[in-house]
Amino acid sequence: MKNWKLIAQGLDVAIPEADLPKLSQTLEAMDTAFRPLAEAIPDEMEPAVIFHIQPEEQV
Amino acid sequence: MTILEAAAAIRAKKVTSAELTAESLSSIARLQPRLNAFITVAEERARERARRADEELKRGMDRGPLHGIPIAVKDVFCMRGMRTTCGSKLFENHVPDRDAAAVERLEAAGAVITGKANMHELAYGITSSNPHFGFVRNARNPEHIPGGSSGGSGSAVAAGMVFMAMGSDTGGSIRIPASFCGTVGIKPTFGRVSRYGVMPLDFSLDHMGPLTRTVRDAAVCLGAIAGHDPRDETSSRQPVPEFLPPRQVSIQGLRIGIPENFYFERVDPEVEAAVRRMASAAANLGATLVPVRVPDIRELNVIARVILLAEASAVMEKHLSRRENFGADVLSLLDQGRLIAATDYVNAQRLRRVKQQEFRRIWRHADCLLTPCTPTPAPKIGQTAITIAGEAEDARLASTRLVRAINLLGLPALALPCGVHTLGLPMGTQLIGRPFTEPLLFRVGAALEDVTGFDKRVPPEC
Repeated sequence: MKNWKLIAQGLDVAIPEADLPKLSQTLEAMDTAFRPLAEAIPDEMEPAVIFHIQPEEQV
Repeated sequence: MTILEAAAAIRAKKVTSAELTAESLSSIARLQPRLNAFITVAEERARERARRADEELKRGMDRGPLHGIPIAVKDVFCMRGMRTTCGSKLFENHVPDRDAAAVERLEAAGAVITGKANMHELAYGITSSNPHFGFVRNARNPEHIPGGSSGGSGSAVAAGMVFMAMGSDTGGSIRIPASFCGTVGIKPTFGRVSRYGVMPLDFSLDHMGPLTRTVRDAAVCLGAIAGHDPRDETSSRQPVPEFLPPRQVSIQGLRIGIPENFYFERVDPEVEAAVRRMASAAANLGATLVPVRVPDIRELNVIARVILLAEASAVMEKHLSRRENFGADVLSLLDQGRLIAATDYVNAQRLRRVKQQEFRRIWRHADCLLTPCTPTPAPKIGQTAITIAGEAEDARLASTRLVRAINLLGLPALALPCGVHTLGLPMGTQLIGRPFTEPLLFRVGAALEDVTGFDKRVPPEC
């Protein structure tokens, strides 16, 4: 289990102490479901992120 | 009256745009105190545009079926010179200097924008219980949420305040209000409608589309706003086809996939029965019902949530030092997103391609899928959990469970009413298609609407 409180502190994210238990529970459930999927990604799979480049005039 | 009926009435000189707009503004004034569907009403601007529309028609200049039709846009669409808040305190005085592409196209088609619809704060939630601009209430029963985030759009259309209202959909935000309010809503294929000038929630999951009373009206509106826009990098160059189904529409021989897994699990029994009745209606019209197994939608939902949390927090991070400007639910989601590892975000975008390939196999067996849209009718305002088959579930996660994955895949999905629950609230079904097959979804939706007549139901006291 990840220590979400420490992660928040390490990233200097100012989350009130009282909000952390609920937030940690939600994130942990998501992380538990996500981890096995991430581990099974084929190496050659590219992310679905767009970057286009076009020819440009010399300035 | 529908858009197509109003358009015919205008051309037959039975009514003018000025009269339709006056009626719309009067309806907004009467119902706004009860439903709070609008953040800004642009009364004078709308009356002026309507007068102009009538003058153009008199001169023989006809811009098509939306010419002179009063509509609204969610307050996420920028309009030059008109406050655009995104339902957020951060932007309560934000007046853009440009129009969103959808606004440009709707006005070029002659539509008369009456105002900006209320919404969930920052389009990040499904209740539309907005802490800054007031709670939106469901036109079918004001004790219930209208859904969200395009809740004002759904309620305004259901109440007959306007003929159409634009919404945006990042994890179901057009289809959920359509389902909860008993309207039609189309989330087009990713890239079909330009996002230019729309305040972003999530760069790779946001979709724009209309909520209307009928399927054919949704087709007309999508026809007005679809098409390539070089100002949006994700905008598609696919040609824009005719979306409007003919009067006598046939779905003979179409293969409609009925999921064997996931979509009918943990769904209110009345919702399941209503959707299965829609399937039977399609079969009676000559369609073939094909049982299909879909990839694990739970996995797709998790991937979509990782992307949404990370991207939304990236968009809003510069504002997060002013925590008092956010509602508690939205702030919690934005906090969660700041703790997502960059590697998880990139891997979620890689998994998106994996799941896209897996989902593609469905189309070998079916032309579209028919599923429930939301597992229950609209929860009550303030209700945080819903119980289905004895199991309690977070209301937000339950309401997005059947719709969120389709944003990840970028597929078109049409929500339409499929019945009325014994609670007196509408229930919704969802048609999902291959990329850029909106015309097929409209055909199936129009055929079902023609035989079921669910579009004719009017909310009480509206």
